[in-house]
Amino acid sequence: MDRARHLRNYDLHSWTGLTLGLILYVVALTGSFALFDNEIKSWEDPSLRVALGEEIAPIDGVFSSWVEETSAGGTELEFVRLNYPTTHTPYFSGFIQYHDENDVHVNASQRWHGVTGEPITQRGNGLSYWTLNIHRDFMWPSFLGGRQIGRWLVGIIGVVLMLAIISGIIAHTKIREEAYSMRLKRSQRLKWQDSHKVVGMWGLPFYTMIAFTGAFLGVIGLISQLTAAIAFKGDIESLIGAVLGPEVEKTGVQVQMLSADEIAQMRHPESNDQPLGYVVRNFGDETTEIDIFYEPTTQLSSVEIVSINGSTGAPITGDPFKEITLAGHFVNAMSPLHYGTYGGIWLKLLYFALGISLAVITAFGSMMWIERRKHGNDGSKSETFYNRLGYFNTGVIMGLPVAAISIFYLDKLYVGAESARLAATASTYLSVWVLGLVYAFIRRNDYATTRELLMLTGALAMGIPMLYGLETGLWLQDYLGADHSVAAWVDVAMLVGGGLTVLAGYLAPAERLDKQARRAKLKAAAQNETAAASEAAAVPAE
Amino acid sequence: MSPIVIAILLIIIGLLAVSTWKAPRLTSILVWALIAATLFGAVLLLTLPFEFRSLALWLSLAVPLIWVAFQFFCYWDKKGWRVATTLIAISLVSGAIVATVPPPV
Repeated sequence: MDRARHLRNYDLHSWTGLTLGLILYVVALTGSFALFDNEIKSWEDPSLRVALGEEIAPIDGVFSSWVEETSAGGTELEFVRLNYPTTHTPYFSGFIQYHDENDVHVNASQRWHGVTGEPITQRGNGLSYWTLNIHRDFMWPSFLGGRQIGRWLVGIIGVVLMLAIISGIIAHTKIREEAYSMRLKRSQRLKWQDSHKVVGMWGLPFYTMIAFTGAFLGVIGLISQLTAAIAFKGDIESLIGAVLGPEVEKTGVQVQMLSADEIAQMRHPESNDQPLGYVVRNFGDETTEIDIFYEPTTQLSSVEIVSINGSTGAPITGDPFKEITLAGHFVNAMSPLHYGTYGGIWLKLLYFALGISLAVITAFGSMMWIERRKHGNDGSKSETFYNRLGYFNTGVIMGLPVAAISIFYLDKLYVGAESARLAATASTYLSVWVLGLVYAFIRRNDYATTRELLMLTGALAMGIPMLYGLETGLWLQDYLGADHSVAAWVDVAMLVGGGLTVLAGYLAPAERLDKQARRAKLKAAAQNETAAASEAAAVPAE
Repeated sequence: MSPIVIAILLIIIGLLAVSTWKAPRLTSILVWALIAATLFGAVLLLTLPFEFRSLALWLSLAVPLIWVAFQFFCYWDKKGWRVATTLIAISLVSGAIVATVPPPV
């Protein structure tokens, strides 16, 4: 490759990393926490820890009454869904969407106890909801266009990551040598550079997969809308109809629906699995159809769907839109691949480690860029400018983990109304993050800030089991062996992860060592070793 | 179309033309790559002779990759003007095909 092209490619890699690197860092770090959505849900809400027996409670009576009462006065019931209790969600959960008297879309949901069928008081959305959705769509505010815009932005970050990966591979001409090169006794910048390359090389298959699946999940909405606008002249309904099948119009002839308890007994014709849940379309009409969800036969899919007539229970066959094509299998695999739901907790832990490593190499990338300009020959701006850029970079990077941990504390210490829980979670998260940024500017030492905020993150994480015990009276050892011990494993993960983070902070340098200081330090270490060896030699052998 | 909308469109086209002239690679990676990828995706959807549903799903997987490929091309080609010209040409040709081919359903 000629030098000019190599330089252009290198610039592309650094500028994609620099301009969107911090956002990529946010997506990667929040995504690592979002993997444990189910586990955090069980941790935050003890009422969800229900031991399921062989039999689940009859639900049809309460569910039908709830659907009827909730949608009463509305003009059209669009959508009814019931999920049966499972290990991760040991309760019934019902959702409906209907048009109210003003023809406005209204969503409603309710949960019922898996064993007794009693309604469960819903906790307001908070910790787990924020943790998952800050990754999915940045919880993008409605005054800036709403959550869909945030989802597109996250998807675009996936596209940028793909671009950074391709340009990164091409930029590193000695890819095999660099995969094994770690110069630990050289400058801090070289350590970051080597870590960036080594971790980047070894994690490459994962990063490529996560970038592609993330880009797909994020921008599919944008691309389908743009494609519809272009190819279908703006008629998105036609595009949806052409891909998912035409919508069946109601005839207005009322029929008796199958009950939720009858559907619960309808096992999968091949696997004999029990249903996970179902969705009803055209509820109560003779055209009604029910899609029953089962455990998928392949893990690279979220569910397997069997469609039946909602009144007679007869299977619906021969509909080409119900058949899953090869392309459909690929599309269905995107979400399980992205969230690591296809292989149990160990796979999620591997995803977590790789996700954190992606955040770390992104952070190293921006730190190297600033360091080169502050202490090298690359910069064209003043030292003050690069100093401020460094404080900003460090504050954003190191403030985020503190914010992510701080909302665990909020979740247990919150005393306000449940309806305001999400707003309190958002305020705490963003305020702590901003405080991290302010701290970086006050401290005026990127190394010390990194070290101190790392140790603070670790200490806060290690305090979570204690907080949980004090607030709920449930101590780790008491509920580790109990039903739904998955919640206790959140505490264990916080203890271990917190300990490792404190250790990482402790080992991190508190200030930048220039060449002379580094040499002096190495010399002192060598002298200590020589002195120790001399002392050992002076002691006569017994 | 109202005169205000036409004026806004003309301003956008003018700004795009100036930025393409001044910084062809940057404008191409930020704007033209997405426009070209989307229009090209729409052309593939309208013209490829495969079952529509499968084709739409395959293209939903492919368009992000086409977008990245076009972005990568922006800094790969030796000539900045050639990058912009190629992407604008792809967009124009695709736009013409889309305008003339009716939707499949």
